[in-house]
Amino acid sequence: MARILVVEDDLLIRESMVALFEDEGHAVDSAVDGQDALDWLTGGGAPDLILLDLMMPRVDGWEFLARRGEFPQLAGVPVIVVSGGLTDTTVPIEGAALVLKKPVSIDDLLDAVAALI
Amino acid sequence: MLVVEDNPELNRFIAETLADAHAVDVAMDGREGLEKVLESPPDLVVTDIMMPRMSGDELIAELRRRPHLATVPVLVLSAKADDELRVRLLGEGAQDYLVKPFSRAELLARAGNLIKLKRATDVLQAEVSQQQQDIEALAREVATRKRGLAASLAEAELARDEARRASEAKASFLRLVSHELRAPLQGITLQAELLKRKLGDRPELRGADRILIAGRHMTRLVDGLLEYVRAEAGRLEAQPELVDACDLVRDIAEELGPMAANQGLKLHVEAGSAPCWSDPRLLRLVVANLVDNAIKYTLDGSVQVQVQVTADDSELRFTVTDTGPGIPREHWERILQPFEQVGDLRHKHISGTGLGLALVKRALDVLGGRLEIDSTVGQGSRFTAVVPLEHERKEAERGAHPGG
Repeated sequence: MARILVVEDDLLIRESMVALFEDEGHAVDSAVDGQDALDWLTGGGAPDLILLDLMMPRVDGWEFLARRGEFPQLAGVPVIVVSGGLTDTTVPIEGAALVLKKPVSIDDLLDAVAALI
Repeated sequence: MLVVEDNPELNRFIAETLADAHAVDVAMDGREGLEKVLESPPDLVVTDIMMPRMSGDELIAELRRRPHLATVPVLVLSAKADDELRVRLLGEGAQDYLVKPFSRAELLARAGNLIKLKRATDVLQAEVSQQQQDIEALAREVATRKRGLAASLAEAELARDEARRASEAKASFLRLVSHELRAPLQGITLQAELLKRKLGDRPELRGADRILIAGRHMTRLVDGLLEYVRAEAGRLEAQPELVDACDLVRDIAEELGPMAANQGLKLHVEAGSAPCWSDPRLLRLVVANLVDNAIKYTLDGSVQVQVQVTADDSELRFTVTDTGPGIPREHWERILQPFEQVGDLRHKHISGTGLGLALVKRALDVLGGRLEIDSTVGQGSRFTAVVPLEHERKEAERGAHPGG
């Protein structure tokens, strides 16, 4: 049982992920883009793990990762990047513990989360 | 030369003496002398001092006032008593003097010397001014070249910036297209998978399975298309590492097994172990596309995949053999072109973008390899991808796998 934050601008993907992790017994919060996520963190939100999309309006995944240091509650919190825009997911991204390429299967998602929580 | 002397006899004497060796003109006073000099500058002016209208020293002053006459030498004819005057004139623009009375010989000698000097001066002057012109011309040339270079440099910088911008635009376009195509796929597959998880293996849910199979197929198409665009944009580069080519082929066979089974085809893999140094992404691209093609085009029978390393360890060979319709020889070139498909005799639509072989060819180009085609209509086809192996690396990995 963990608190998971899903940061994803696509409605269908976001709702699917929320439903999936709630089914698995986690407490799930969601943000519609990077700005929404920053606001939630500013308001005191403290996740155990973050699932992060990269290409989003207002504040994108890159900027969110660059600003994670502003939030002490994020120290040591793993971020899994799930992106459709990357051509090479073997290249590590600073601030992200793991990079997955869309479309990712439920099994791969659950494995990744289990490994990092 | 010009003789300026108001005494007619002396004038004649001088003129006749000089006429032997030179062209001589005469003037009877300073004014006439000046007029003649201005009209046609001589090589020497021989002049008396005391003359009506304009004296010799006035004439000299007039001459020296005119820069273009600066090199015309003046020989002054002076009376014995004019010591101070002739010395002064030497300082004011006369080059030499003759004290009256003087002999023909002395006149000729001094006049001759002054002429020689003047001629030498003229030659030098001409030389200098020519050189000056040459230098000026050179300087102008250099300035023009410099401007030309600066313009070229500016152009080159512009072109470089354009190219950089275009490349970045291409890269961000690729990212955008990739994202736009993959996001809906993600949503679809997640929902289908969630359905399956929630509702179990009921036969009514075979629809969910089909959604997932179609989703996977779509993902492969998107991957292929994006890889092709990247290859065309020159962004495909080999990144070699240690990889077992046989494991790679077995993975692909496992992935495409269901597709083959769906069409009632047997998929055989003949591969042992082949650790080598190459780019697994590119190898996968090549083998997966060849096997995918073979399965797509074969209606019944089998698809066989073989992996071999040549005896001298110089090449890696992937051979995909099918029992499909075969390809007429005249089409062998064509099918490597992007978007080309050779439909079968019944004009059945073969799914796919027609990019597979074009991509295989690109990937092999990057790997320094080649594609061999052999096919017989009615029997089947054999595609062999040949990839050269780097020898030094082979030594390194042979060290890591003793007896391997």
